[in-house]
Amino acid sequence: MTDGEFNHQWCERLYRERAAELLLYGRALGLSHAEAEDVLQGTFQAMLVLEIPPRNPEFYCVRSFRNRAFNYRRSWWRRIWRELESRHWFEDSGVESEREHEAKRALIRLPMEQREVIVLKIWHDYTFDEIGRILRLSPNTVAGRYRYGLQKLRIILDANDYEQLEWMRETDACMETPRPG
Amino acid sequence: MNNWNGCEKQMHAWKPRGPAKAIEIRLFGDKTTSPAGRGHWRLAQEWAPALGGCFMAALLFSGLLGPVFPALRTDAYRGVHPLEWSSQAMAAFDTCHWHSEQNGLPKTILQWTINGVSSSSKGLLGRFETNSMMP
Repeated sequence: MTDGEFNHQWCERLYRERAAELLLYGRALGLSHAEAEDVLQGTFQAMLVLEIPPRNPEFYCVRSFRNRAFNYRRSWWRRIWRELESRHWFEDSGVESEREHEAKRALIRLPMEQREVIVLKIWHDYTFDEIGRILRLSPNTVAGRYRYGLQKLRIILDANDYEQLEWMRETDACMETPRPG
Repeated sequence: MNNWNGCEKQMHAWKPRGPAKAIEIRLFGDKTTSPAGRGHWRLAQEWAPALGGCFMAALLFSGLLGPVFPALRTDAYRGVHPLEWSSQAMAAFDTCHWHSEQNGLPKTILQWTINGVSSSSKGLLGRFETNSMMP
């Protein structure tokens, strides 16, 4: 088996297993669906021509995807389009409750740092240590972001009344997370 | 992941939206069609523009040089006559053929009348002629 065929095999397997989750991660990083697809394609195209397969392909793929997502050129009209197309992060289940719908919207509205950690933890099944290595942060920082973001979503999913939601909105306004420089 | 609470489990059940199929085909090729089917499709893709060009050229020359495609001509006799024979109303509208003369639709005829009686009737004409010839 040649190197090219070998690359083709593990890349294809990784794509089938992780493409949807990577797209979701792209959305969490602030890309539109189409932009996330572009980045996904670019990431896999680059991996297909690697001479030596990475030691941990999945980890390498997420890091590479993240770097490409941040380097992706963001023009003015792309930002406009992204605002218009800021829905449909998930497949339509057809039996979605009002609270679930509200929670999905809340996930989209979370600060990017919290969103990113939640997506990597819940849909990519990474531990806080692994997420810390991907983001070059301490596991404690990652865990803090995760807990704070999840707390907001939990309130929506478990909410019995809207007083808690109001409290959450007020907290959001007070504790806006600073964006990375 | 055994210590996940209900909220996390509920969110984990949300299925992320997948990428377009075209991306997978672009990266890894199309696995859904057989190699033979792909060969035919590729052959058709290669020859389709050439065949289309030939057809357009033939259509153009048919207009310039003569009726290569008589069926496409709107005045072609063969394309029209079955309709005319099956419907009198259709025949009435087509004045370029003799069928329009053979239909059963009423014709407009102008006639002079005197007191509701046709002036061309024999009796009236006879009386008029009789009167006019009187001294």
